Amino acid sequence: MKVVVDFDRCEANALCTEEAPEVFKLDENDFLQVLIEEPDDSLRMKVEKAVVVCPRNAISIEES
Amino acid sequence: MVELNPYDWKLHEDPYPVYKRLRDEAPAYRNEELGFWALTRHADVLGALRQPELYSSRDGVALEPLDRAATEVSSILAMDPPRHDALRSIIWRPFTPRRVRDLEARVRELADRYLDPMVEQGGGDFIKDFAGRVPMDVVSEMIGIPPEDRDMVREWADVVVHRDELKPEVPPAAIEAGMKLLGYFYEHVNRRRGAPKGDLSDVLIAADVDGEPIPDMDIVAVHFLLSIAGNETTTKLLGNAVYWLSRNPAERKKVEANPELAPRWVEETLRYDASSQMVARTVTRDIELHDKTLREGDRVALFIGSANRDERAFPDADRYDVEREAGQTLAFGHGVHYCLGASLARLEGRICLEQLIKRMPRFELHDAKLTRMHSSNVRGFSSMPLSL
Repeated sequence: MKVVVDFDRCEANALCTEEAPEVFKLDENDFLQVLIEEPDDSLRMKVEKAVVVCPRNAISIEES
Repeated sequence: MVELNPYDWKLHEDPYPVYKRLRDEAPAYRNEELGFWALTRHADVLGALRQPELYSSRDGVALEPLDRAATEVSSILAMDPPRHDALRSIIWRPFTPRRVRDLEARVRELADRYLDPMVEQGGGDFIKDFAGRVPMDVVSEMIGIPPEDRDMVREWADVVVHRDELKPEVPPAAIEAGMKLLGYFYEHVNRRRGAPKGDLSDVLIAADVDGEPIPDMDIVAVHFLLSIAGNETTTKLLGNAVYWLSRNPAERKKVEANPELAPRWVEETLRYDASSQMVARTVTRDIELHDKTLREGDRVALFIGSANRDERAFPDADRYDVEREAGQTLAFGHGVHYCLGASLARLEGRICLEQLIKRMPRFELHDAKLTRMHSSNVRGFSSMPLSL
């Protein structure tokens, strides 16, 4: 699974960082960092939750 | 047959039983007379908000038929991507979570400034003396409305969203107030050209979209939008929070015992009684939904206020619970038009309510004097006298 963030859409609302802190983090300038681009399946539930809660619809999952 | 008329003042008293019937009996409801569809289930409202290409904002978010000029002043509310996204990315700059966090001390200072006289005098009008003032000051400082003009601008904003009983058309007074706001902001933007102060007004004047400066009309429209969106809905959020807390003594005890519940109190109020009840869209091609056919060009009202009470999405949805685990509230919308000011509204909500509960824990509402405002989408009170 690959995490894809549309950075034109992301507005750093940070809801994903609450759902999947292992994968998403805001840096000191409020830019979203993807910590693990290809997380393993143990994080799938959390990443899927992040996809759903993102208020800007900016996150998607690509199956590798 | 269940009927929904957003201009019926009786509905404004308590729309939730009607929403529930619509969710259960007519999830794709058609009001033939007023010419709109209504979606009321959480999944349907969320689904529509996620598909801006199918549910377009090109005709604005109000249900009432607007002429072109009125749609143009709706700014990014009445735009689809890509134009929407280009302009939004500029307006968004002062609203990032970091910039909003930096406002915390200032918001607390403002909250105390307006609570001081209420504490001294043993009460006041929670809306007129407090909830209407803090958000107005915050947005005014962002776009440079001087203090002496703020009461006037707020008064115009109130009149713009008012709707007369059972009348879907925009009242003449609302049009007139809208024209005054526009005139005011045209002058404001003109004055700023050549005399920048470094706030959002100047950012918009200096910015370009695809290599072109932003047209004056669009810059003015952003000011118009923020002056209304920046204060109307936050004011109503504060009023609704105080109202529902005083109606639920057990919840009130929890907040009094633990003021750190303020963020959840804000979230639950947003869910339970959203300040913005509805946003409209235009269908761009035929859609089959719940055995009905929405035709290309039809207007659809997405009832956020109903989605947030959908028992399919929130357990025990009709219970006001300040300790509720956050669910997916749609109070700020979702997707490309997700409320730009969501972080700011949450911050203002939290701080204002924290200060209120800290400084006036024994507040009592004067129920007989509560006055509701009337609009087809904004929900809340225009006057709320309380005493200590």
